[in-house]
Amino acid sequence: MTEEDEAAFDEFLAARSTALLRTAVLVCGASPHDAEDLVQGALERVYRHWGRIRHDNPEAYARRVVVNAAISRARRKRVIQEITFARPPETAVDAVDHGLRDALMAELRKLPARMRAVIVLRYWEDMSEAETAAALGCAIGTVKSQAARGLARIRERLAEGVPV
Amino acid sequence: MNTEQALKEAMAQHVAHVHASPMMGRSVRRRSRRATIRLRTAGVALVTATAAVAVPVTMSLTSGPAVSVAATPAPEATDIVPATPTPEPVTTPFVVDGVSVGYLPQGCDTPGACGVWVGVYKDGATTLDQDGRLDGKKVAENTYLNDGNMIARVLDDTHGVLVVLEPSLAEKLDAATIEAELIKVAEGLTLAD
Repeated sequence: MTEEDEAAFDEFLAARSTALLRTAVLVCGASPHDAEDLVQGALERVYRHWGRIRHDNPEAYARRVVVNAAISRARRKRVIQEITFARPPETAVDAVDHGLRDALMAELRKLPARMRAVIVLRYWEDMSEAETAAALGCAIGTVKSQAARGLARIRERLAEGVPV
Repeated sequence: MNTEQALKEAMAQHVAHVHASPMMGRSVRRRSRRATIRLRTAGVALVTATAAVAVPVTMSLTSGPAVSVAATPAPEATDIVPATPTPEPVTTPFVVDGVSVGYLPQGCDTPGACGVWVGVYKDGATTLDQDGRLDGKKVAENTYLNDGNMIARVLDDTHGVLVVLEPSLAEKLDAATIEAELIKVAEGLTLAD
């Protein structure tokens, strides 16, 4: 990679790495520390192809790599959680008032990884349906339906007052 | 406030304290150097995997039938194996010389993210049989698992397929997983339209 490429990559990191890290935290539900490891791995791939992609919307490429990695990680995590919590404790969950924000985040984390990614990209990243579809490599119709179902599920559960 | 707006604010608050480390660039470059070393190591391993496919390539060049090969990871590894066919990143579903690959292990839908090799023998049954690939444990009709990390399947008289897991990928998995994944890949092979 040329010095110019290296400098451009540093500029890209300075401008976008925090946003990518935040997206990863939201999509995979990991701690910032774990998400940073995931983002580093994704950015390593971006760096490897930087000479080729830097002139061709590197942000979209990087976001796509990060989101896909975050979805994969969230799925693996979910399998582990499902195994670990196959027999949930019978004791009632303490009725703690976590507030609307925590309730929303808890419900967001319960969504399937891909549906959560749609919600994050659409409503946190403010991406259009077309941009979200491109980032996730799916059809616009899928984005529409996943977003609608995700929001409906969150509304429903909050209305039911499911303990969180 | 509607749900979308409330979610947006909740997400923004949730990650407001999250900032990328100023050392991110250094960490990424360090990982890249490590990955380069891994890729070179994998390149050596790929020679083994490639050899399994390249031998019939050579044979087919002299004996008639052609073999097409598609594989991941992406071409970095080939710089030390200039004589091998240039691998192309895999995306699913993809087609290798008339054969559609309908299943790849999880994570393989991302180009360069996995090490699965798919080679198509244009003169299927004859060449696969001649090359000794139709051997080992029969796991389905015309499908044989052999050498631990490869599976061969004859689709018709002119399409035989050899699927090889790159050794560096195979060594991360247990034997049962390798067998299950190879069988799934073999089951997902169909003649393309």
